[in-house]
Parts: sequence; C-alpha cells; structure tokens
Amino acid sequence: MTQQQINATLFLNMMQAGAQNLNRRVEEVNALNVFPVPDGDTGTNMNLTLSSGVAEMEKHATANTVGELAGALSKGLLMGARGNSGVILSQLFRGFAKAIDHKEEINAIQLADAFQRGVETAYKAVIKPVEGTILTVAREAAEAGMRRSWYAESPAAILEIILNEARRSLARTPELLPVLKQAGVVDAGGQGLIYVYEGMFQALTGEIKIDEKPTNKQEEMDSLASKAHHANAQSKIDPAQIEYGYCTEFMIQLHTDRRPTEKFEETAFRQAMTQFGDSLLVVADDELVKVHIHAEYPGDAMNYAMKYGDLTRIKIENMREQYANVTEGHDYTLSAGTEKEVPAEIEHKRYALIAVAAGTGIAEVFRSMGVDVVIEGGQTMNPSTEDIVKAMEQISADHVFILPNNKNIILTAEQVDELVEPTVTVIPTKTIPQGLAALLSFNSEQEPEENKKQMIAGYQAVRSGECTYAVRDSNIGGIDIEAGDFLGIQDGKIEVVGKEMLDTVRELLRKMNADEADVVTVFYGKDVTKAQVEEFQSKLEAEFPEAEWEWHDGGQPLYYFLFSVE
Amino acid sequence: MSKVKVITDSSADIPEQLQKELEISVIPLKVHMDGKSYGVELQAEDFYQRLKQASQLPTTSQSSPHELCEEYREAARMGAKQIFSIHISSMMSGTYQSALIAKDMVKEEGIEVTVFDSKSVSYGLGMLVVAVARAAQEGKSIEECQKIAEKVRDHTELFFLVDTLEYLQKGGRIGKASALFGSLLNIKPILSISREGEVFPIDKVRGKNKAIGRLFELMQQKVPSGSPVSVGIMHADNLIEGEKLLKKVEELYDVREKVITTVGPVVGTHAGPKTVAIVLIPLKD
Repeated sequence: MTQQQINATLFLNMMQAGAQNLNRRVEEVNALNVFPVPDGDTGTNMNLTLSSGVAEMEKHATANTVGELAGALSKGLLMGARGNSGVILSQLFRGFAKAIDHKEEINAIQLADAFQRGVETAYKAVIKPVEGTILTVAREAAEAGMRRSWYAESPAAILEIILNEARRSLARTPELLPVLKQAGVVDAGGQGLIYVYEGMFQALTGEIKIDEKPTNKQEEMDSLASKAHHANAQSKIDPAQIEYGYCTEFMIQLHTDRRPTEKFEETAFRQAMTQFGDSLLVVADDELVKVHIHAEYPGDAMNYAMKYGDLTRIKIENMREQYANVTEGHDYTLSAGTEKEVPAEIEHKRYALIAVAAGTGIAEVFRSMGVDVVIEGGQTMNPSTEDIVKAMEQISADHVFILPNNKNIILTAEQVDELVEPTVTVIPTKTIPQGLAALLSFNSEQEPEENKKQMIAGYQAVRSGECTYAVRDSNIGGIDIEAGDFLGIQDGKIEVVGKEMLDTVRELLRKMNADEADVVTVFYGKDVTKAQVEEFQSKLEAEFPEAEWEWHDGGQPLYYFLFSVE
Repeated sequence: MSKVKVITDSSADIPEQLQKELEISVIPLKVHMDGKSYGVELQAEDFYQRLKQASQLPTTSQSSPHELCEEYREAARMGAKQIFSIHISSMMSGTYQSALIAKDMVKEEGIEVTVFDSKSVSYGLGMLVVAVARAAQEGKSIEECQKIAEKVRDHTELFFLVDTLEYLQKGGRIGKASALFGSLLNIKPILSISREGEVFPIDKVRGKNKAIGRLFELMQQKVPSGSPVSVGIMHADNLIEGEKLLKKVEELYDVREKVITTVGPVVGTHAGPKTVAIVLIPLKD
C-alpha cells in the first residue's frame, strides 16, 4: 500500500534501508575509484558516514516525530563524516534533516523540498563544487523531484522520480568529468548515493523489510567525550596536584516541557562552564548537549547546566582515587570503555599542530618537527571528523593548524572548526611532503594569518612523488595499466607506469626534475626490504648526484616510496 | 694628543694583520679541550683539526676581571689616557661583566675605561672594533668613538649558517633557535643575532644551496642590492665556501671594503666546523 505520509517509524526504516543497501555495495563503490591505486575507499567512507547517522537515529528509535529523528541523523552524520564523498553525503542529509526538523510527518512535497535543501547545503559546504560527481547526481535528482512535486500523488512517487533521475544523471557523469570517461567508470560517490536512495525507496514501498538490529548502542556521542579524553598520554602526576578532582560527564536534553528553560547558546555556555573546571568538551546539536568537564564541584556544573534542560547519562568519577588505583597497579576500568583513566594536565599553548599520517616513521618525523598530535590515517583510512575532534582533546591551544596530508581528508578536517573551541585552520596539504614543507614554514612567533600564508606558500614549493602498484586493469590518460604494474604518481597524477619498481621510480624522479633539485627526501614504506632500500639508494644517488639525499624509514603501508623534491 | 686605546676580546676574530695595523689589544677567552686550556696561542687550523679527534666537545670560559685589569693597566703604562673596551654580546658570555668589574677596579688607580657591549660576536664584533680603532687612530675623542660604536652596532647585519645545530645546542648558545633542535629532517636554519645580542633563527629551509639562496634574499630585504657596503666574511675551516659567499656579495653590492676571516676557536666551539657567516654594514654615500 502506498503511504501518503512518512511517519517517524517509516523514516527510520528508510534511512536504515538506505544505509544497509549501501553497506552491501561498499566494495562495488570502492572499485569505481578512478585511480587504480590501492586506496579506493569512497564506498567505505560513505558507508561509515551514513552508519554513524543512522546509529544516532536508532538511539531515538522510539521517537514519535520525523523531526526528532532528523535531528539525530544530522548529529550522527556530522560526527561520522569522513572522506570527500562522505562529507558531501553528510551535508546532503544534514540539509535534508534541517528541512524537516519540526515535522511530525512528511508528505510528498515536503520530501521533495527536503532533498532540494540537502543539495543547497552540500553545495555551500564545498568550496569548489566539481560537476560530474555526487553533487551533480544529487542536484539533478532533487531538481527533477521538485519539478514534479506539485502533482505527485505520494512520497513514493517522488522518490521514484528522484531515484530514476539520479540513475540517468550518474550515467552522464563521464561526459562531465573527462577523467571518468578515460577510466571507463561512472562517479563512485554518485553510485553510492543511488544505493542509498534505492534502499530508501524499497523501504518506502514496502519492498524490503529492515534487518533487525539492536537499537541500543547509545555510546557514540558519549564515547566522543570520554574515550578521546582518556586516551591521553600517561603523564605521571601527583594526585595531590589534581586541581579539579572529578571527571564529570553528562548530557543536557534541551527541550523539556516539564519546566521553563533558558535558550541554549553554545559559545556562551562553553564560556560559562570554564568557571567550574578544565578539560572542557562541549558537543551540541539542537536537541542534546554532551558535556565533559573536570570539576572540583561537579554539582555546581550540573546545577548550572540544568538551566537549559534535563540531565541524562550522568557519570562522575573521582580522579584522585582512580589515579591512586592506577599507581597501585589496579587495572582501573571505566564504566563506558576499557581504557585506563589517567588524568593529565595539558599545557595551554598559543598554537597546536595536528597532522594526519600513516606509518610510524613518518609520524615520528612529524612529531620531531613540532606536531602535537599525529592522527593515524591517510590513503588507506580516512579519519572522520569525530576522530579529529577526539585528537583535539589531547591539546589545549588558541589556534590549531591541521595538516590533512591527503586530498580526501581536507573537507573532513574543515568540519572540525564548528565543533571545537579553538580556532581551527586547515592547511590543505594533499601529500606527506607537502605537510612537512608547510610545517617548516610554521613559526610560533608569527600571527595566525601570517602563518597560514607562509605555510601555504611553503607547501606549494615542494614536489611530491609516490610509488605504489595498480590494483586493477585500467587506462589513464591513454596509458594502459595492468593490475600489479608499478605506478609513479606526481602530485596526485599518475605519470609513470612500469613493470620494474626501480625503473618506475627513476622515471618518476626524472619527471620531477630531481636532477635540478637541492634536496630529495625519501620515505620508504613497510613493504620494501632493506636490500631494496640499499640498492635504490646507491643507484638513485648516483643518477642524481647534485641533490642532497635523505632517506627515512617511513613505515607507510601500500606506498613503497614517497619522495619530496625541492 | 693622546689616542684612545681600543681593547677587545678573542671572540672578535679580527685578522692578525689588521690587529697590528690598528693597534688593537685582544684579551683571550679560554677554550678548554681534552683537559687543557688555551688562550690566543691556539691557532684556528690546529683547533679544527683537533676538534675532529676530540673525545668531548670543547668548552669556553670568559676572560677574568683580573686579566682585563692587567690589560687596562698595561695600556695605561703605555700612555693611554682613555681606554675603550669592546666585547662579545653580554647574552653570550660573561666577558662584558668581567670588563665592568675590571673597570671599577682600575678606576681607583685613576685609569678611565669605557666598556661597550657589542651585542654581537665574531667579525660582527670585529667590524665594530675595527671602525672604532680607525677613528681612534685619527685622533677621535672617546665620546666620538662611542658614537661610532653605537652607529655601527645599530646598522650591522649579520647572517650565519651552521653545518649542524649540535654545537650551538650543546654550548647553550642556541637562544630562540632551540625549537629547531631534535628535528629528524635535516633542516638548515638561517641564523642571525638579534639587536639584544642573542642568536635567533630568521628562517629555515632544507638543503645547503637553498639556505644560501635564502640567506641572500633575506640580506637584500635588509640592505637593498647595489648599496655601497663594507663586508666581512667568516668561515670555520671552510675557506672555499667563504670565498663563494664573498663573490656573491660582490656581485650583489658595491663592496667598498672586504675582510675574509677565520672563525676562531672560541666562536668555533659554539658554532661548529663549516659554519659560514656574513656581516654587512651599509655605507652612506
């Protein structure tokens, strides 16, 4: 039977079905990645992003209104967003959710409007929208829905129009983006989006039933505050020196009808909370505020928070006692997780630096250059917005610079600013060499704006090279590539394809003008042997003798060599 | 008419010929190496040779008030009525402090000494001393000498490149460059000496050639190319590099006076072998 209205239960089912359908097709979406390098993760990223949104909805499974669920979806998406396509997907559905956040149920016109609002939000979030991607698919589909909404008889009819137009739009993506046409594929993000829409449509028309899943995994927002915080480095401190003795966590449910409450304003609230203690973390959306604070008088902090709503999920731990337990050798376990509780004083600084990098050797180099936190990630695994927010818990600074060091992490990093207290500047570095070059131009004595300028100029002056292998046959820019071939990539572009690694690297370095370079820095990966490194070192240095060479054990996965040529 | 007597210390790295010509007296700072102490008798070539084999890094110590007193008394005995004592930056050594103490000690004996903090080192200090000594030879008064010293101090630009930060760091003379130490990447800082007399990094780059390129860029920001200048080149057992720098300076500027000198054992202990430096003073036409 065709529904005229989408109620809360149906909306939840639709989103679950969308997520499940995408989940089943992850590998297929990954394989559509244009470059045959072993890091195709568009599907993975979209899946993790949407799962986070749906998981948040499931915490509100008993909700009576579509609006309540929309709020949960929005929050979950914001936290879970990772990778370019993931961030865009999150923005599409956040805009969608915003459009219906006060609705009990939604009809056909409202559904079409919500899709349209989603597209507007996503286009705003992306600085330079590229046509022929998930954005185009979402936009053309939503526009088709809008055109027909005034005479569509049901939400299902609208969604069918949207889905069909999305499929046609996807088929057109190779015409808009030459790189897709060359590779003989359609856009991966757009394909992922269609799988989501398909799932939603099937749930709406009753074609499929939702797999039963446990709905009580309400730990996510919670863990955002606690886990990250407690994963801090274990600095030895005297319990007597703990100024704020109680690790206090709670959530405020903002809209209680039981009694009048004050209007919640995040910045002012955060400011006010600082009077009660330190290590403050506030994560807020329209419904719920998660608070983590180390306070000496937790009651005062909670009484203050009560002005804005009812408290829930309250947890207070005596840190002095916990610390004693830890030092006595007891394995103190948090109620929420398994990590040890060791409170650490964090020194407040003017600047903090965060970098994303894969490989222990590379992480070490970043730390040696003054980076405060290195987030494990990169090609193989894009960290989520939440991962970066968590990393911020380990530092205390007025300004934070983030070096994403990967093109798929830049957008995710840019989401962080709206979630945290310090000013966040993302230096859009796309490679490890760029990240290091940006770092070299950082000067703690300078103003933030000047630093930003210098760091951007710094990374633009370096050439980045990578050597990896092809995971499948393809054709890029007229070059035939077979699975297993070695690929030489310069600044994100496949320049050399070869059967021998040394020849590939040599040719890549020639293209990068290594013969005229002052310095060539090499990071060898974990998949190359010591003998290989020695061989490469003697041969390459002999071939390009003018440059100063530096070799480091980067320990990175998948990429045999990274080269920084300057 | 009696001339002003100019005294400095061995960190000034003034070539011997010039010292003699301008009648500059040089008080030694001490270098301690492998259990022995050396004054001015330790030659630079010898020092860098031994540094390669030294089991431990050498250390240095300031001139003592006693040595300075002796020098002031000697100058007075030779007929100097006014003594101008110019020394290594007080941020780097206690020699200036020793000189102030010595000045008070000899004051009771009727010997007048003016002590001056150059806020510089090596030929940054040396160039200042040479300018004052010339003025003194021309018969300028102590007040005029002081004015010249201040003027030179405020207009001198000094840049230097170390081969490794290790020596600056171990000797505790790294100042604000300390943030650079510990980097796993080979970073070449371009260092200077602040108006307060402390070592600080102006910029940092990868690779020696880029460092030299950047050094000249920074120099031209301070002193526009084509300007008439007096230049001093310092090198720590690195004459080839020193001569290259001089050539480059001569291409860029209207060089009216040039001195190429060796970084002596005192400064060499802290900057390390292969260090090169340029000191430049723009001359008004």
